[in-house]
Amino acid sequence: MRLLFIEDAIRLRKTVARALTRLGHAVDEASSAEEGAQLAELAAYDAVILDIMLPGQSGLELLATWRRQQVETPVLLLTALDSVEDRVRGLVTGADDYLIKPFAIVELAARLEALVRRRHGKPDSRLQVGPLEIDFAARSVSRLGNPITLTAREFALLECLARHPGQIFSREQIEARLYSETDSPLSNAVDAAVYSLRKKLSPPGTPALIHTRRGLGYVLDPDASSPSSSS
Amino acid sequence: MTSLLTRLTLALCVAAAVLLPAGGCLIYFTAERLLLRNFDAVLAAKADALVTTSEMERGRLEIDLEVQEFAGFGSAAGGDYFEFRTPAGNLLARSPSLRRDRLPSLPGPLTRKPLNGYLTLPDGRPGRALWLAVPVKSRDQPDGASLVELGVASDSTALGETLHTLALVVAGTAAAGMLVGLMVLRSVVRRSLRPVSDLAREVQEIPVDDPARTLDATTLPAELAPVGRRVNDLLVRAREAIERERRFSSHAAHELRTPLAELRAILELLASWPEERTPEQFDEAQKVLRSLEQLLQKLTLLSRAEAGRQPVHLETVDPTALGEEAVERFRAAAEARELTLVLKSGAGALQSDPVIWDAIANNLLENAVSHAPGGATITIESTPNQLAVSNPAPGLTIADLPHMMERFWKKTPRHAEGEEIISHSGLGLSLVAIYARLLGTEATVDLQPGGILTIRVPWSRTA
Repeated sequence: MRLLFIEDAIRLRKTVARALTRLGHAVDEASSAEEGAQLAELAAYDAVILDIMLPGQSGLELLATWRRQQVETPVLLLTALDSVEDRVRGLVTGADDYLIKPFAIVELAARLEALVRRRHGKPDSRLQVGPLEIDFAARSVSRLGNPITLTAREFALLECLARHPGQIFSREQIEARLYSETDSPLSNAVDAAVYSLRKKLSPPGTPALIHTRRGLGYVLDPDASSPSSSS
Repeated sequence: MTSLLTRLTLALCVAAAVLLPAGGCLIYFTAERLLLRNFDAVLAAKADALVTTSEMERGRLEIDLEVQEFAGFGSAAGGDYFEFRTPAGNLLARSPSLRRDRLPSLPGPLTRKPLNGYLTLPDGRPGRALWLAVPVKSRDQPDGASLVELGVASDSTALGETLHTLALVVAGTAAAGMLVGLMVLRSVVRRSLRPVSDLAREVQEIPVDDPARTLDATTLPAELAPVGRRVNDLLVRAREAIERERRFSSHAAHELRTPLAELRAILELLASWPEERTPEQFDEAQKVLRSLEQLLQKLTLLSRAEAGRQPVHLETVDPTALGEEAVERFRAAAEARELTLVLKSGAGALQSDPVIWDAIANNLLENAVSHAPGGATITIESTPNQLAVSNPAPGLTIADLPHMMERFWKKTPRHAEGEEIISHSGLGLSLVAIYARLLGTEATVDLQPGGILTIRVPWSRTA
């Protein structure tokens, strides 16, 4: 997932972003609402983690602005304010979820995952795509019951393609989903990741699941023939 | 608890129960006195007529029979009686209405002043009589007058009946007045107390934890208007206090929860990914712990000072020396942010507690070094008259000044990314305020038009 984390506590922001990156997400960081708003205009995020008490404009004010502008990106409020009134205020303003500090990073990741699933209308964390069974909550994948071990980056790529089977994703689109603004991937990083994932998902002798559409990008489609598949 | 309505009703009922019978008695006895005075005046007039028309001759009293008839003494049916007797009690003459009876005497010696009183007439009816000693014309005496005793009486049945009727009317009126009063009084009192009830209801409807409403004191009666105004004043103060409490709670939550979240995130990172177990990550965890320690230490100091458990030992101190020591303590931290510390000292000494003085100076300098923009100049004035720290504060506004001494209040930090913040807890100025009070003074905050913030602690105990 491509995430935006707006938090003014530098150490917290960097540590959580680091952990989320370790979990395979691309995380962009902002220390103020104004900076976060700018980043949100430049990239499409799967979800936003938003602190309420920010310098200058508050997180709630930014959230209200987004909702007025019909920005529907799921927003998880991350805050030290724990009263019922604070939580209600956040949810009424348009937040999709609310997490109180201190929190477990795995819970944060799970809630973000759930937010994105809800946004795509899939309440179940598991997804069946052809012979693949993907569990986004457990971050596991198996082919016909055989577990497949993926790196965080590979899982993020699979998640990107599997959530929209049959849809072609350009290199740029995949890059935007896999890497944050501060990452500097090599020019063939996406191709390398696709090659690696394709090999793991389709061992020799089994039909390919990820197909290359020359000049267009990549698609996960278990039903498609792959005359043009190549590494 | 007895209601005001019940208490007032009871009090008014008691007053009515006392005043109505008392008023009735007053009316009755006044009327009785007037009626008796009239009755006695008639008896006196009859006595005068008898005396004027009577004459003693050879030991016998002769009375003009016409007057006797005119005065109504002719028969018992008229109800009037008289009797003349000698001072020795020998009968001289009596009205025919007495037939063979004697007119009863009244107790007491007779004089020329009439003696009036009730008696029972010979026929058994109640009567009222007038007795007096009176001289009548006499041919037997050389001076032409003989002293005799005259008694005049009349039937007082009608008078008694009148007084009885009056007593009944007065008692009935008082009783009826009390009954009607009981019925009317409560509603009258209730109506009179309605503004008080309305005020009580309005006050009761104000939420305790959110006194956003105030009373409309303009519609209250004159007696309650001051109460309404004072309640409004208290509500405003309560609202401000609640706002302060809310700000404190949210800031406290932020200041305590954020480092905890940082620590937890770091530990999770270290536990989940062994390659993250670098000296830098452990150092980060240590920094979080240190900041939490400092926060708790300051909260403890605040709590101790507020509870009056911070001892104050006054002695003669040298503000110049103390100022130099304080500045030296922050020299390195200031240089790290390219800040210039300028100490202005003044000769002389003052009476102060050096420990508390140091604590105030430390917190003021910590605040200045932490918040002043990089490259700025911080001026410390340490004299026998005051300790003042000034620094540029471009982010502050006049509206921020009243909050600066509140616990955990802080204008959001504007440090460069990655810059280490020196113990930025938001408690330092609260400590300055409370320490200043321990030394018998008040810390003040001033923001000059150029954006120069000065926090000043004036001293009054020069040595």
